[in-house]
Amino acid sequence: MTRGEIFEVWAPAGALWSAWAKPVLFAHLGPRTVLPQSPEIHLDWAHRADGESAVVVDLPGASGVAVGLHLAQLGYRPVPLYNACPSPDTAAVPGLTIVDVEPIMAELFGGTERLSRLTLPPTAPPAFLLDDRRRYGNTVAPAPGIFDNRSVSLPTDFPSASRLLTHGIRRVVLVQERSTHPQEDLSHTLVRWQEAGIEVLAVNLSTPGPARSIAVQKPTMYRRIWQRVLATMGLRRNPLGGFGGLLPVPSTG
Amino acid sequence: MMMAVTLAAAPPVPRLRAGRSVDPQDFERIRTRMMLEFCKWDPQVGDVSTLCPFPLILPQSEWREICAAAEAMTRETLAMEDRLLGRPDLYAHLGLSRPLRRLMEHAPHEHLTPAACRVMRFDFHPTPEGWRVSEVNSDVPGGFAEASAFPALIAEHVSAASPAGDPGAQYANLLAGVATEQGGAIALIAAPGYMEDQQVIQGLARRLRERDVPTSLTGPQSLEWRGRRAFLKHEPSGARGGTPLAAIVRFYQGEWLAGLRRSVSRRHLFVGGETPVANPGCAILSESKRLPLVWEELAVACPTWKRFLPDTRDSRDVPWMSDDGWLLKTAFCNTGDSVTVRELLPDRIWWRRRLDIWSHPRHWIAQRRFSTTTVDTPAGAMFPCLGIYTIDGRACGIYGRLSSTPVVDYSAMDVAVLVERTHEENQP
Repeated sequence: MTRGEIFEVWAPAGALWSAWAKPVLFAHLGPRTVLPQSPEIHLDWAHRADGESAVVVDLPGASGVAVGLHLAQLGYRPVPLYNACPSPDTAAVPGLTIVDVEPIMAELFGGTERLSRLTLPPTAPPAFLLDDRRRYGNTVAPAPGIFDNRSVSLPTDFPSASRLLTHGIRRVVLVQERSTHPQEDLSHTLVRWQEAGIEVLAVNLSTPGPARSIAVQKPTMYRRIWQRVLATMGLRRNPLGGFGGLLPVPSTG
Repeated sequence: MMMAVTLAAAPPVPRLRAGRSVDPQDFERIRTRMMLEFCKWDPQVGDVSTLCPFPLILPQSEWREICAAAEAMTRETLAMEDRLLGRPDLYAHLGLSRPLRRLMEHAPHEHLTPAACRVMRFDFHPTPEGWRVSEVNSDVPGGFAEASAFPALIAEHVSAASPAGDPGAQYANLLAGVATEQGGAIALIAAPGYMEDQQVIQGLARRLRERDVPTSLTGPQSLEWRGRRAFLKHEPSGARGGTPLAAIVRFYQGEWLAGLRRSVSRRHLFVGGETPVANPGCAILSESKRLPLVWEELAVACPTWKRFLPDTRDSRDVPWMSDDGWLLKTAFCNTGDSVTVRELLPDRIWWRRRLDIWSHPRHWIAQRRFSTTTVDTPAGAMFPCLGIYTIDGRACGIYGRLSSTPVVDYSAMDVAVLVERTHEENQP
């Protein structure tokens, strides 16, 4: 399959939430990608899509894709929001990145055929897929010679609350590995949704059980000026964590 | 006796029109190609799909006019920059931060780091009084994929109009020439964490590799200066870099470079380096939106700037709080996000901005608002902004954006701007 054909499976034209799928990993998919072992994940919290629930899967690496594929079998449309570049084409040794996205790419590649066999309606509710290591990485500490591909999740990466509500979404289930508290960058999105009347529930995979309703705390500097500006200006806090001091605003003029 | 009276003709209203929308299936293919082949990785911002399915079409005469203006303003800008290098006393007035001033204060005593090439983008707006320019992006202009591949793909579905140019190819050609001349790889540096920046250098790196130029995508902390030449501290293999870089593409804005930790060596990106940089750090001087405040002190003729730029003042010199005819923006407003117009902002943001403007007046400028002529498009009336690139002084393409409000910011849509072909060009 070509990159375009793979992307069409994950973000088919005409599907309601395809426009939000992030293309960067698909733009780098190539024959080097190999199928990994899908990690085993406890999934007894997941129920068949009812049209009123969306899911935000914030799990490490490939496990998020694996959960997304499982949710697809339950009627959700997996929407990959992975927004980190893999190792640049120029790297002599692939993998010299702070966040290793190769397993995610492999799972996306490997899961394409499985996803293509499912017949999801264009209006299937979304299951947004994130890598929970996006801000800190998982392989090596930032250092010269290591490609820094960390990223943050912004509210503009998601549909607005009004868009979700317009399409009948009344609740969102956050799925994480070890906590029911969302990461700070994601909190900005979830609080907005919650304020608009969308119920937020959370699942901690390390503690089996059903999703429970949570009250998302307003993150630091919530709505102060504008979260995107804050996230990008790094005036008071580096959204990527402790390295590098201030994180600059995008240079794109 | 009759006296002849000559009335100055009013400038013609710019003629700019929207073309028809491309067939939805064809446009979906264009969007996918932009994402997967041309590094357009932010095609959706919130609920806004940022790629327009229809083009804007500009008559040849309008294109010639704004080309000539952009090229003239490039010459004037470079002349002002040159004069500013000997005037460190003006840097605080331009709004340069203290770390930046410390870097630039060496400029009068050291040679400038050479430019690998020089890229600028001038933002033109059609108004009832003719074209207006709101600013120049002189430091790190982006948008090359949107101004190159996108118009080319859209043009395949439009008759009698062509892209204005291909600034991405032009940039890559010039950099490839430098790489051939100097030998070695080109390092492209950008801030981590921001896809809108990463996609620019990844797209440029692809073009360079197509021209057999080795590239390295990295950050300023990976550069090492031995003498005045730049090296990579480590090759991708982990080995210590042994070959000097041919050039550096700096997609990392000057004020943030200056704010990095002291252990990150960046002075030679500004002054004293021998490795060519695009754009060299001294571009920060003309990036300041406060530059018009020092025009008179520089004694450089800038008639084109004076013709196209609205009245621009220090915020302390105008009644911006009581007169909505002024807008304010920061001296280093990169994406339009700091543009402050009272009627367009929620009260709480307006009050916070007021406080900031009062507290830090040198970080801001006031500019006379102008009335942008809207264009009727298939998506309704929209406000256009045409970013005209000049590369080494020659106009070479247009980055078009459309906004539903008069302020063009991060959520504006990218639109392909095409130029009507002449009668001769349309002959088979």
